[in-house]
Amino acid sequence: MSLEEYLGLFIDESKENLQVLNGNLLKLEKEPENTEVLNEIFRVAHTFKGMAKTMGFNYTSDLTHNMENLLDPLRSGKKQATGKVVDLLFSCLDKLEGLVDSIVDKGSEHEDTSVNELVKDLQAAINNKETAEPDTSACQKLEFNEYEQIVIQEAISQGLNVKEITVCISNDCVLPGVRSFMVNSALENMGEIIKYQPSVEEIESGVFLKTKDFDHAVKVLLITHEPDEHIIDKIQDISEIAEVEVSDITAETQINQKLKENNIDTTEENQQPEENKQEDLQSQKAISKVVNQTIRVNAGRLDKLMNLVGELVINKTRIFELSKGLENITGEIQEIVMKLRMVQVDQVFNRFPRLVRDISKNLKKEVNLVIKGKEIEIDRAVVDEIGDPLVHLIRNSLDHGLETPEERIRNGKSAKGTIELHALNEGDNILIKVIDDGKGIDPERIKSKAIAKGFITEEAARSLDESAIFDLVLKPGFSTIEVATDLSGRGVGMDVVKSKVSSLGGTIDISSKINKGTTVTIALPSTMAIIQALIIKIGEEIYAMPLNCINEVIDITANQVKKIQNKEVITVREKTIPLIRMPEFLETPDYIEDPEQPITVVIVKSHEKYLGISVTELVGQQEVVIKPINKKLCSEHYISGATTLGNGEVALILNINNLV
Amino acid sequence: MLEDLIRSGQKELQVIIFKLGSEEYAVPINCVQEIIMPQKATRIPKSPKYVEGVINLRGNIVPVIDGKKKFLLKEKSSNPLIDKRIMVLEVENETTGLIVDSVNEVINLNVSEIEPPPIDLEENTEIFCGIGKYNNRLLILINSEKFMTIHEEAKKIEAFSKVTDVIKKARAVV
Repeated sequence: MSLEEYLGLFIDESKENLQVLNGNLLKLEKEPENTEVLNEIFRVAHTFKGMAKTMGFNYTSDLTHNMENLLDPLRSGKKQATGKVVDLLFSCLDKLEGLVDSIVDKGSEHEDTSVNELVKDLQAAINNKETAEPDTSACQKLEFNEYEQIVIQEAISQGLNVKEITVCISNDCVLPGVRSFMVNSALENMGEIIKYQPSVEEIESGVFLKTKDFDHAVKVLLITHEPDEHIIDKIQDISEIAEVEVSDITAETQINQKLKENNIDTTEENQQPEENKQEDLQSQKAISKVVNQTIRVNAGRLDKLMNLVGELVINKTRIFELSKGLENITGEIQEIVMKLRMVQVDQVFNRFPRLVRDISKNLKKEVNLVIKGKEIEIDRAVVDEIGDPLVHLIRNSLDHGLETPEERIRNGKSAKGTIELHALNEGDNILIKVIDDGKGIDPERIKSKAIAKGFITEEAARSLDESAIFDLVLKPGFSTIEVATDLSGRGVGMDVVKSKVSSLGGTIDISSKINKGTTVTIALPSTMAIIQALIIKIGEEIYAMPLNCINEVIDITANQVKKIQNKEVITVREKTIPLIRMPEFLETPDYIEDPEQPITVVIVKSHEKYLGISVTELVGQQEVVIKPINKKLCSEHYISGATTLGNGEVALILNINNLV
Repeated sequence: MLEDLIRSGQKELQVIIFKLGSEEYAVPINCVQEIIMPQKATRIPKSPKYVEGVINLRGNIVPVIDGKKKFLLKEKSSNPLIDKRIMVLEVENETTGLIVDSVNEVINLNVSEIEPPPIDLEENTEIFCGIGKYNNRLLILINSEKFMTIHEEAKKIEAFSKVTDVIKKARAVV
């Protein structure tokens, strides 16, 4: 296999690794002490480095190598993951993403000098920290546990001296253990030893403290009346002792120590539940890892399988009468293949924490992002497409929806805003909600804006209900924000979101309460590939309509068709529904409906709106496999795809959402 | 495309010769996926006139366009209807069918025998690679990538008919 062939693998894995990195960096920002997270980040950087080296991507490997260098002391606890460090790591992540993107596009890294700058920053961060850090390996300070502290305090309050004595045994001493033991007994005679470091056991196994110059040193904490000189003399009497140092432990150092300890205590306390959580997560992860064993499937092969199953489904309809057994088999195959296409929305959602972090920092707003329903599964085709519209909605919420912390407090809300991203199943549909608790949309402002822009007349505006008003936001060129910001407000966007969603066969709905917040709901079909459809004839042409948007089918006589404002409508159960004469609408050749004849009307529903569609003949209900069709061919988006029928002919699938 | 060919040092180009109206055209063989008999296509409402519709090719939906309609070639074919074929071209990962009046033969064209388009077409030379000479025949060599795009400006199509006209005159002289 040449490197070329590994490239796909590299890209796939890199993308996965980038996601893991992203997630873990966000975690690290919240809990900089969490070594689990640090280890994971380190592991990712390491894997990345290895892969990039193999592939000959020097910038990537260089960058990850330096990330590793920075991460190593963090991981071993020698350094703190400060905000600066995390920011630096984030910019590394961005750069890595850029590099991987260019690899995807061109098969090679783009020449990027900014990588070198970043590497320099990394190196600076590594060096800075190391010099600033006290030389811990040289000679640690004695640390006291709770019991020892109490003893020290007692001693001090009773007017006794507490001494910290450092004794260095000369390097050429053959039996340092014996010497230290002699030190111990000498000191024992002068007072009470609270702490002896290293412990006797450790000394027996040859463990000593090390100082700059000496390999064997001990520290002793002694409560005594003796003056310093006396102690030093006594110890110097022992042969092969090179140096003795005595310092007082005062109440002050004691308090400092205590404060420090307390600090650690509280942080530890804070961490405790988190750690538990972490552990839970860890175990959960371990389980889900087993369940989620994935195999990378070549998309082309999968599509081929889809085609075959499609043909099989069609044949099933034909020989259904002959063999019931076949139905079971095809049913099962279909289910498996459908499931192959399903991926968790997690794939889309997990890029948002980072997005929200960056934008909210930028806007100086405080945001809590809540993600629910990560595990909901959605069609692969949808996952690829829905990301951008969601990014747009979240940006909108952050930029226009949520207020600044000051504003929020003034309005009696908590300073921190909440954006909720919520996926859930509802019937055949999957709903994705973007909920914010911001200032909401003012219907009056939209109305006046719409009038000013000439979307509606003042008269029409008065009769609009709330949901109709919010629908105006989805119109092209509509934006209520006067000043376009970096993020949004240019009046493109919501209509793009809408067209994207409807091209996926979904709908979008906005609801909002002033000062309470806004909810945007996107409803998408859970599967794109096989749907239940009603097969109809318009003229001599056969079309398919998705069953989930059909409300009912009725026969009406010619005189039931009324005209309002020159448009044909019908009245069904007190509801007035617009009617589209399909042969005319689709310019069906050689067929014109006789307006005097009774007609069959299919009532469809989309966006809570109804529409009557006249058809020539109902053929039946059938499962159809949706196949993509060259979009340039159907510029007006009334066709969402095509399917093959039992006789091998192609039937087009009507896009009801765009008709209504 | 012609420059690329010359640069690559390739001596011969294998092409398929087909007819639209009375003229002979050629496309490199590597972009032709297969040649199939004409079949009933499903009309797409409100699509451009030259789009014949979509057909079912072993489970894949393939759009079919009518070559003569697309390039506004009015003349009748000298071939009987029974010679009509759909050439299925695969260009930039999109499969499209092209209805032609007949598919004649596969030949090896000497790259040195290919000349650039004879008239000044300004920017619009992209549809053509040039004119190929083969045994006293003049073949209009088509750049399949540009040729199959569904939407483009009328200018290019004009250029196309211009070239066709020039060829016709050239042939009259020969």
